Amino acid sequence: MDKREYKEISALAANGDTKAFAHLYETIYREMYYTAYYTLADDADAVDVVMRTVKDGFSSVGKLRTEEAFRTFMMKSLCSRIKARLKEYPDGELSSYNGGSVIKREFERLSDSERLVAAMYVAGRFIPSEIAAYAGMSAGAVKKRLKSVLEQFELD
Amino acid sequence: MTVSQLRDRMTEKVVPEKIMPQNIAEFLMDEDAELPELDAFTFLNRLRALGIGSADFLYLLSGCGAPEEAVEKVRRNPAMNLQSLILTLDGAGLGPQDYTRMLYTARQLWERTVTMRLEKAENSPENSGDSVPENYEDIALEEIEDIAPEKIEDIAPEDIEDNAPEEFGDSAPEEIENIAPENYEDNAPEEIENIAPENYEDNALEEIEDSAPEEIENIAPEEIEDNALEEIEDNAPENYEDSVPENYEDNAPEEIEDNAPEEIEDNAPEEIEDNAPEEIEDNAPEKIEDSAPEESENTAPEETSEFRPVDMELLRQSLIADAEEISGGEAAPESAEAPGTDEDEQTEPQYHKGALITSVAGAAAVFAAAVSVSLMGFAPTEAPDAHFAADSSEIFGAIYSSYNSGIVGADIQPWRGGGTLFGDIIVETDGSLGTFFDDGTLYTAAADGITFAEAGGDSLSAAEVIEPPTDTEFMYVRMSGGALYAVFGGAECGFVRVDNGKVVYTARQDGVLTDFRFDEKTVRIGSVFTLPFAESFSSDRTECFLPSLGTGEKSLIPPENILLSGADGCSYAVSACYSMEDGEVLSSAAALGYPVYSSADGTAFMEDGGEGLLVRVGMTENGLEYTTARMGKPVCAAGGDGVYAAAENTDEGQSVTIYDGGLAPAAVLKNFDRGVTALRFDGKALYISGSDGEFMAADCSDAASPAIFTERKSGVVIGNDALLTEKTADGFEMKLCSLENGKAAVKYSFTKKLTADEAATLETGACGTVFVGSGVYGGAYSWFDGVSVVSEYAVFGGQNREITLFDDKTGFTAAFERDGKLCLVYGGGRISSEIHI
Repeated sequence: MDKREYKEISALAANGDTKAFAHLYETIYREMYYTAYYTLADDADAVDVVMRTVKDGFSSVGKLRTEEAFRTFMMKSLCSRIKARLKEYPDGELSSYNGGSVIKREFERLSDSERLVAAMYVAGRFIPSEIAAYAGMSAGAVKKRLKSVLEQFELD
Repeated sequence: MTVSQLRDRMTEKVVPEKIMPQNIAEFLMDEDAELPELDAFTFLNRLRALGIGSADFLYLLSGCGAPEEAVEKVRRNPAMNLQSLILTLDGAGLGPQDYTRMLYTARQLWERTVTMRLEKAENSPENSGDSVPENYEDIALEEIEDIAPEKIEDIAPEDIEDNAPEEFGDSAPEEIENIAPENYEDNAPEEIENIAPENYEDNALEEIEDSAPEEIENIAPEEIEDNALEEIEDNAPENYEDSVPENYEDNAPEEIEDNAPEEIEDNAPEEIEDNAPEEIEDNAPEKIEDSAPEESENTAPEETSEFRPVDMELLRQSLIADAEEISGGEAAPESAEAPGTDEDEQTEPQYHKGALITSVAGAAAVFAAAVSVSLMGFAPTEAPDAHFAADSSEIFGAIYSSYNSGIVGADIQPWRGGGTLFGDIIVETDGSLGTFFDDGTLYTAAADGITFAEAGGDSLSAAEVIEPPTDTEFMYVRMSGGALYAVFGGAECGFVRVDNGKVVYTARQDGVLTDFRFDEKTVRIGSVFTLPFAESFSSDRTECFLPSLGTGEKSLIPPENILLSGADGCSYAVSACYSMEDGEVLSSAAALGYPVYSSADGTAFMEDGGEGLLVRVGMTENGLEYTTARMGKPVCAAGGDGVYAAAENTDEGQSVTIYDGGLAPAAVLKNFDRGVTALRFDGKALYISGSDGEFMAADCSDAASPAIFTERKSGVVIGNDALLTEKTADGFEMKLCSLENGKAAVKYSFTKKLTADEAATLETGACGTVFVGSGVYGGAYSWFDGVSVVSEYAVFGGQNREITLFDDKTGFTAAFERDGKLCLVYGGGRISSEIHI
């Protein structure tokens, strides 16, 4: 999506055009869902935080001047909601993943922040600097957690 | 498994239907979905996005029932800035429901425009060259005005919620189209009465009777003029030229302006009658189609008086003339080559005749800096006017203005640790934060926590960890006066004081850590805080936009301590001084603008458009004062002990300017063999980093004549000694060096011989294992001998010995002095204390 196209679509969305907003949302919904799902390990919760984030985005799209700003806002908002949701979980209790035994085994042994980083990096395809910006971590902390994740997963 | 394989498996999970994009649109339209809350800021922003002009805005205000004083105030101040506008709207008692009603009507205006575009697209292009009826814009606006006031008043917010945006396109435009031309044709109330029922549907007959004719009468001439001019403003030059008769701008406004209201009443219907609706549809939309809202925003009214192609040659000559004027008649010739050529030396004598003071092999050279001519190669502009804020509203206004211009925050240069200049060598440590022993407690500092344990016996007690505040990490730790001070950075910054294993206080400051200084009794922190814009703009919450800091709970920096630097931006350079004793904030200040760096003493480097701005805010005998100075646009910057530096991109490549304590350029480093990405000061030593880390240091004790050093070695600096380690082909060497005449002189050395295979596995210990005592020095290292991991600690200097462990689970992890003995921690917490110092 080029700048002009984004500007036009976001202007429509800012004025209440939900289809225009959906067009913007289409560019990032997979990353959002996978980040939420693999961090929270609960499909219903993942859907809920994504939908709440969508509402945030719809309310604020008029202030987001570029597609990058839109992506950043959506992911930051999502990460904040994921963190808040994680705090509601009893310590160490995660629901089961439906993603298969390998993924379940791999993710269950990670800490909350490691799962967030892993989900964003592996499934969301975000690079460390993006993860740092979206998840509110320092670049060093992301790299450290990523290293730990890759070691624990024994990934090549 | 590879990352890619895992990714494939993870993304096999099907995204639930509920959150698929096509369903999200429906979800957002659902009545359960919260509609965006409208405050004054959001409302104005959306009006702007809709391209609503000032006349329509006034009309919306009036129709909504805003107090007459507020409407008049807006009318009389067409250049009112957004902050004042927000204050006016909020002050008029308008609330979310009013904004919602007005926005609904504004959307109708907008929808009307969109419909016209669509109609135009459907029409054949051969009519596009026809002229636009002069009164076209009057028709469009009046049509809408005709129905809108009553609607504004009648529409309850619930109605608006029920109307999905799509509905606007289906209903409103047609409604307007059907009504307007016929209504105006004869302009007789009775006829409107006849037409009204089927067209207005929900609108009461008397409302129409009340509104239509009087509306025309009531339109003030200036309003009509505004509308006409707006239409002209909205047109791109080429469209204007193509579609509007040459004398359009000369005649139309005056004609309308000259007409008394009665004349308008008398004349307008005929004019409208003459312009059949089809003609309007055929011709007019072209104007609208080509006039995007952003064009109208960017087009100054005076530009409507004359449009002509830009004469590039004329422009070029004009620029040359300007350049000559700026440089006092010595502007570069048209074909000026890049600075640095002989020609340039003639045109910029102050800069290029600067004597070469020092030349350093392979890297950079130092030049004298000319004060009056920046590295940009031309005379810098004046620094913008700066002043301390009167109150938070003034700050809010500046932020609001910058935010709307899309100028928020620059790329900040965060503080990062690095090497230490030791004589003529840059000593690089391994990045760990060190080990400290005090009163029986051993502290081991790392980025994610400070581990402390009692170390009184032959083993460490169960360790406890002091973690940095949420979303931060420790970046520097030092022991002073029996207490540990740990500086942290990340989502915010600050420092903690730890005494006897307990956190005494945590001083926190908004922003990214860019600098810190310790002296005997105080800690100074510099940070750059870019507003997160987590809340909507509102004049009721101007404090949300101030930086905060403090010990324990943070509190806002008083607005009167905040300098409005004059540079656009929504980012603060924050500096504060804290008492080491109790963390009390002794002083704090900030400068609003576009900073890339803020030194702990209140000196900030900012971007300001294509230039740079040096800003210093500090406490003097006369209270809080500031200084500003122009500079080139900074890429990165650093502040030290009375000396500062900033890197700039110039035509000649990158350069680093050294500024003295008075912020005057003192020297320039140029000719780097790699890109400069970060700067850091430690005292008067400047460290210059590239993508591969610090590659150069400059001793700026004399800012005008910095001495440059590029030799780097691994090791640890402790006071006036440094223990350097160097791997060799057949092992490694440790050297204890002391400073002699400003150079590192080797006092003792230790050499370890290993086979080539063993040397390939050699690892030297972390800096926490290095011991530098009086005459006794030591360090840890390990290697794999083919059978076991061998961990060894070598002691040299006054006595020489090697303590060896095989397959120890941790190896040596710390070394400290206790009761006159060198103690080594190994085996995950065991303490060996067999070496007398």
